[in-house]
Amino acid sequence: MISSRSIRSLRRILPGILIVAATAFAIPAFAGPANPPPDHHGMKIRLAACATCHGKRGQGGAGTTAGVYPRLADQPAGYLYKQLLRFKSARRTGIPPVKIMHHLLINLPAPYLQLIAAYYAAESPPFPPAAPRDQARWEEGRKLVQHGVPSEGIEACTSCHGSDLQGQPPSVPALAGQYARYLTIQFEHWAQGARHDPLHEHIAETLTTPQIQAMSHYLASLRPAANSTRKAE
Amino acid sequence: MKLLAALLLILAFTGVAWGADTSASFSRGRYLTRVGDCRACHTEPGRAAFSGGRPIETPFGVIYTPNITPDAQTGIGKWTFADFYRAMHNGIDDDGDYLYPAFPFPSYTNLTRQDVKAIWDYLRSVEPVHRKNRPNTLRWPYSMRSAMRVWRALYFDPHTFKPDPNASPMLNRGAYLVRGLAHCGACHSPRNGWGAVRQEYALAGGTVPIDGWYAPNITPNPSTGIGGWSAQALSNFLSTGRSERGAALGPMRDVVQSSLQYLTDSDLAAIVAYVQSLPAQGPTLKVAHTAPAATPNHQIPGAALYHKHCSGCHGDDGHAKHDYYPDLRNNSIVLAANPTNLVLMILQGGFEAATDAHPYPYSMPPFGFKLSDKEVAKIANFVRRNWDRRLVPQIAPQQVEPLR
Repeated sequence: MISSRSIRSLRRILPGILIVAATAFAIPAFAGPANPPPDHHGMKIRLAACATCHGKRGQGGAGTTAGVYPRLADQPAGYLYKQLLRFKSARRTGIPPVKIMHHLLINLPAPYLQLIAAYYAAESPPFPPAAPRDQARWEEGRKLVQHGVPSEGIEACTSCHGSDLQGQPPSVPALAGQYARYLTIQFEHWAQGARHDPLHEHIAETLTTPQIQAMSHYLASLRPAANSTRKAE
Repeated sequence: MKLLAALLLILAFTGVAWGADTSASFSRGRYLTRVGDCRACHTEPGRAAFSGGRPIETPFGVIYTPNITPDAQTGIGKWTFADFYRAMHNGIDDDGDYLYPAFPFPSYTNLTRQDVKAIWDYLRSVEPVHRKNRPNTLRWPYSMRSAMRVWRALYFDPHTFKPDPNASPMLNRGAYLVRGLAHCGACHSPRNGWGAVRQEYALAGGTVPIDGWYAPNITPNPSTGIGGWSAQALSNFLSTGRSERGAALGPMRDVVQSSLQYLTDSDLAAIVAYVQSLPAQGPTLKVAHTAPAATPNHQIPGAALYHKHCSGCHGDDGHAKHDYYPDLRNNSIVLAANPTNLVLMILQGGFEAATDAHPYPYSMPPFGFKLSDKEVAKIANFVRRNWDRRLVPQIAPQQVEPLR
């Protein structure tokens, strides 16, 4: 005899079983030998549209508008993927180059966006030489980044982005060595509502422009330590 | 417990078989919904499927597509099949209001009741999403739905497709799909000042209300249409977005991706056969070829810009070293009398269609913010006139600016 309780639990898990069964049948259609995902080199050729601003290896900072385009290399893949989804849905907007992202990504399915994220996460091109240091600004930036502004409820950047500011997988980005101009523009975007995140919106609305520029100046000057282990995590 | 496990195992298998069995009409509905590309317009990018809210920018103002999920309050959950059939066949909603022809009911009216029923059954099965419809922002007098009464009297004739007894079943199937469910004419036919398709110029080319993309002539005109395309090229283009005559760009790329790639082989062949059987529309431009180049390539205006920005992928002679970059020679987009799509592609770049055949498409960088109007026009003229040596119309920088 099957108890009514068994039937109830059966009903509860049946959809799950059907999904699993359906997935098992569906997998060959997507992962069959006809269309294996491209290897790293194959991705590089496919991403010509990205390379024009972010560089072939995701080093960013291209052309006459140096520093507007972020470094994508070494970022956690989860962070890059999340941002690609936000550009695609136009949830993340901003200055005109950001709007181009929406156009470029609009027809790409999630598995391909994941491959794009993985491509740049796996790259690690050399950093450009750091800009000349403005000692007073650098020191102001260092204090803000390392200690936050407790009286305003602003935590130190290091508390989430890692003590070495190289990000935390899966989805907290690296800040060390990112372009100063890019970082400053992001706070403008949070202030304008072009990017959405209550924590960073609060920072953008509380700190002055010179304070934000000082933090960006400090963060851009950092270089990852040679023995960094973040990528292995 | 053992019994339960065994039962589950049996159910897991029979469940799949059972699902496949009773889902014949369901999958037919899903197929037809894909061919109709309902989801593309009724989904705002990044939102739940069929939950509406995508803005359609018409010359008369913005229309926001409605939620067509089975949600009772905000979708079509309270509709009956009779309501749905009336919307598809007559362009009238459940309240008796006239629908605007941004919804392609002038094409859908051709559908058989049976096909509308299959689509209805499929739409009833999708996840209900509670999302309120956004009001349209049409300008007066277009904002008055009652004005549609006049429009309908002039331009709309509700009818179900009648097969031509003198044509083959294949051509009739192609006609049914092209004129009905696939609603190709919604973009590829010119519209008059009141937004009505000009039937006398059916499929002769029209402007798409998305960024100004041009939907070219898809009748067999040898110079501006598909006259020079092989059936294989058309079939490749529709099913993968790629062909030796050019790639699907802009809104057509999205149509290939969300709709046409799923066509069955027989429906695909029927569509190709039908468009190839149409009378050629539009004037046949004299495709005069100029004499072979008297000046070396690099002295032709635009050559230097081409070699700086384009030849790395497209090759010095427009023929890419690798087959994954489109050939620019004898390319329909490059040589089109209406240069809009060529200019938009240079300005915006983008990825090709992502289909089951090509799930990881290649891309072209956007050049809009790198190149001036003059430079874009120079490159476009170079690729249009250099290799094929045809006397296609020159593009002026003034034609580039409005497309930015």
